[in-house]
Amino acid sequence: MAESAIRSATVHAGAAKAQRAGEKWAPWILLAPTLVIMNVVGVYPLLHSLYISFTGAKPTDPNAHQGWVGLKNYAEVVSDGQFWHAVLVTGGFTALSVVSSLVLAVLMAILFNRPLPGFVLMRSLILIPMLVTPIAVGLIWRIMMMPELGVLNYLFGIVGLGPFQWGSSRGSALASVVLVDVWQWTPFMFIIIFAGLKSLPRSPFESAQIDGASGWQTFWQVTVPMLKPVIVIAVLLRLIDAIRTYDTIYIITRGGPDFVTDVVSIYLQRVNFRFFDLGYGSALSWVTMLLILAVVLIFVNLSGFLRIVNEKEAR
Amino acid sequence: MSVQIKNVEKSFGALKVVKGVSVDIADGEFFVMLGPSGCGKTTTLRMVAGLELPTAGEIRIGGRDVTYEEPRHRDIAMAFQDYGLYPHLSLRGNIEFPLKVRGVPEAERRTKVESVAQKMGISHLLDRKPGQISGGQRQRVALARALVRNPRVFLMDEPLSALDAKLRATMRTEIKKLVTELKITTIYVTHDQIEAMSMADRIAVMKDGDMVQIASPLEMYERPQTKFVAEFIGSPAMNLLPARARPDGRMACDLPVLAELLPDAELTANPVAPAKMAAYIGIRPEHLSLVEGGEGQADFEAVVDLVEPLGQTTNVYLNVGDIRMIAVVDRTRVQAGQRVGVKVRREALRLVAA
Amino acid sequence: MSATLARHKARERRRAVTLWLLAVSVTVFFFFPVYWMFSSAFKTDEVSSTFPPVFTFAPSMDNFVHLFLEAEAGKALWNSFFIVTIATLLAMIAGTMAAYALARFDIKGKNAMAIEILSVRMLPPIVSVIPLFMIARWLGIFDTPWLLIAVYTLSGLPFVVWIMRVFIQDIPQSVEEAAMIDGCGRIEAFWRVTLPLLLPGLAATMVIVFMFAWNEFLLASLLTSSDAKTLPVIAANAIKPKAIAFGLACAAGVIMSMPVIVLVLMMQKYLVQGLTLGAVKG
Repeated sequence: MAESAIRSATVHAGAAKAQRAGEKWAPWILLAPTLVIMNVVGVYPLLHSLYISFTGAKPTDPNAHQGWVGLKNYAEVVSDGQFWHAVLVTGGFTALSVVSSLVLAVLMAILFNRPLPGFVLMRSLILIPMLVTPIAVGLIWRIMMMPELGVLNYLFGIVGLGPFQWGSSRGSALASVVLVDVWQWTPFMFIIIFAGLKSLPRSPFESAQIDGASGWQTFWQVTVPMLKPVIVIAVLLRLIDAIRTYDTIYIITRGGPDFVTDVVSIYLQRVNFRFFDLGYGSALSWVTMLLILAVVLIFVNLSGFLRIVNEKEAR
Repeated sequence: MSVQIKNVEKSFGALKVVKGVSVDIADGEFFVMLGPSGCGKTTTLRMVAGLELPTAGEIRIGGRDVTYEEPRHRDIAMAFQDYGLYPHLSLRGNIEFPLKVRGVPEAERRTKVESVAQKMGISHLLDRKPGQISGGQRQRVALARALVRNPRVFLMDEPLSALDAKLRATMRTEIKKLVTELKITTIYVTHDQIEAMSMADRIAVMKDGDMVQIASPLEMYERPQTKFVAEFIGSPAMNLLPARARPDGRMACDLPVLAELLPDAELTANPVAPAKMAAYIGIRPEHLSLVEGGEGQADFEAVVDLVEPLGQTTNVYLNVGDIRMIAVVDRTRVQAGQRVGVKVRREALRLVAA
Repeated sequence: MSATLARHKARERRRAVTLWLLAVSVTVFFFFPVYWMFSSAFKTDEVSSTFPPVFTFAPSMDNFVHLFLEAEAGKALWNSFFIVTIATLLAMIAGTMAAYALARFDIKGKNAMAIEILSVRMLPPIVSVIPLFMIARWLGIFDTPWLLIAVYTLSGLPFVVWIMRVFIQDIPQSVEEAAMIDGCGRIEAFWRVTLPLLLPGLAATMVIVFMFAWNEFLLASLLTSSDAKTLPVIAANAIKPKAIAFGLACAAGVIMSMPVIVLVLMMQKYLVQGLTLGAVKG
């Protein structure tokens, strides 16, 4: 049986060589669809938008000069106070949201890292917020946060707090959207850090115990350093998403009141699709992109993210 | 089936990991490629399997050029270091896999699997999955899968290295017995010299992408051609003393008595160590014996540095001035610090190339 | 001796109860809004606009009926389903192929690839929306499902490549090589051995890619005008300039969230590895 299979498969060495040499192309054939999609749907529009950013494109205004305007749009970006305000708001929103959800997630991971009745079910329930469509998250929180009818003010009223104005007052709007973001994405940080905690070896904790470290010392000297790679990855992913937050803020405050929650993605959407100032909008987009890139690269460098990823690979 | 490897080379990018290896392996031979990690032994084996393509050279199995043939058309079997079992299939599924993809009918598959499983002593496990059995059992399954279709050549890539020492020894004997019985040409890769010595018909010691010496186990042990082979094979390692050629054609050595004792025939016996070049004079530790009291019979004197009794034999570490040597003797009463006479078995002295 | 032991045990129990109560309140914080959304979906507008809010009421299907009869939710549901399914499948197929190439062949530039994928992940979608908008008008595919399919395929792709690469690397190469020696070609070896082993990973990845596309709102709202609207776009319409249609909003939220919640909780085991692009094992 095997003999006949061998004979029928026998080919001239030359043909076999040509065929096996073709294997060199196999990875590129496999990569081709991805590269095509990435370039056609991803890179090309990006380059196109770079081009638009040097023009005065504004389809709604036939009188405007639609052609090449050089660096004019970029010069305007630099002096656009509204934009830099949005950048600050985005920075504040991101920092508050990422830091609070990190702290909360670490505490929760430690809390749930023991076997008590019902913890498995509770962990599953806690995951749900990150699965709810962000638009729905915005809607339900906006409904709960309504000053007169909302259930939040009712609940706080029971314990004698409030009523709060939540998203509709200048003072509490940013805190409100941060709260919603923290509510939705802490579960994401939590499961990553929880998984990291579960995967830590026991022996360092045992030797810390024998060495006489207190719970607090163990936490800072053993748990945190060993969790660092996982924390770095969780923070990076959270950072990238927090900077782009749009949906919940769009639903809850639309950037208001008085622009206190006017993050960059809301501002960009307004410039591009309310005023159809596409040339200027594109320039804004590119500046935004470079800012984000800078933030991420700084974080990647400070945290040694690539080293962590490569170490994972080496194993 | 015989296997010929002719001037085979392999580069990964700029790195040349196999540098023109050639060897003829006879039908039914048990051939071991031995060397430290990174010496190119596994790459060479993978080229015979067809898992890697050589950059240059030719590989023949049974006389047929298979250099660029796909693995499945070479009719070979292979045992991997990590077994390469299919985790999603039962042991039966694993063993019958090669038959199944070749379209062997169900009934025939069944009988073949049963018989090979019986031979490997795993009949009672056939419905389990690889994850549910021990390491030694997994290796048996891998072997069963390799043997079930009577391959023309059997390739093994460090198949025992993941097992513990005791199991490794048992499996070693078992594999050797099995393969000898079936008379299948086998190429076996390992870094363990004991495995190589105990199983091989012939050994090729590899270093930096080259086969530095190809010989039978005993010859390899008796007549290592280079320092690398001399040190790699045998434990404790051969005593090697730097030596230089003298104008008169004899050798000079740090321990002059060894150069004097070296038989003339040895000067030309090693093809890679012409007498004129810098070399070593070597002697296996068991060819040194200790003479207590009767110093007159000794070839030289030494001070005992350390005594390691191993039960069967005893390792005695010796200092001769600055020169450190080791002797393996039967039971002895010598103690550290004691001065002893050492007798050399003259015909065991070798000239070893650097 | 036994007295101290008893005291120790009592202290332990008090501690456990405290922690348990803490855990319950954390769970309540995260789960209450979800509960509120689900319960409000079954309240009539009369019930939900009473203050103080009611916790017990006669459930009504009115909101769902409204949603499908008046708010075109049926069409949006179909659009969402069609667009997201096709995009997920395309991303899965193309991405797994690429992942296999990256995992099994020696290709240079892995760090560059990491950065590139991170940058696709961090692009604010608003950046490419303008050119996509212009190109789509020019090609005449604006407000058709195909535009969103293309966009969602693109945004799912880096995920798939990255995660699947890790899942493929987790399968020992020797398993595939054993199959090739046992008589399979490379493709058959993939089909018979690698693919079955990848199935759980594929399913988990698919769920995550599905989730992100299914939940996406910004691009869907800007690149559709009527025919290709997806569920999140319809749901956002529940906000009228002066008021919110409570019931409709919550009913839409329930319909949008249910598929994802069910799918993800089913695949929980592989979720962490997927969400962290394979960097953290769950």
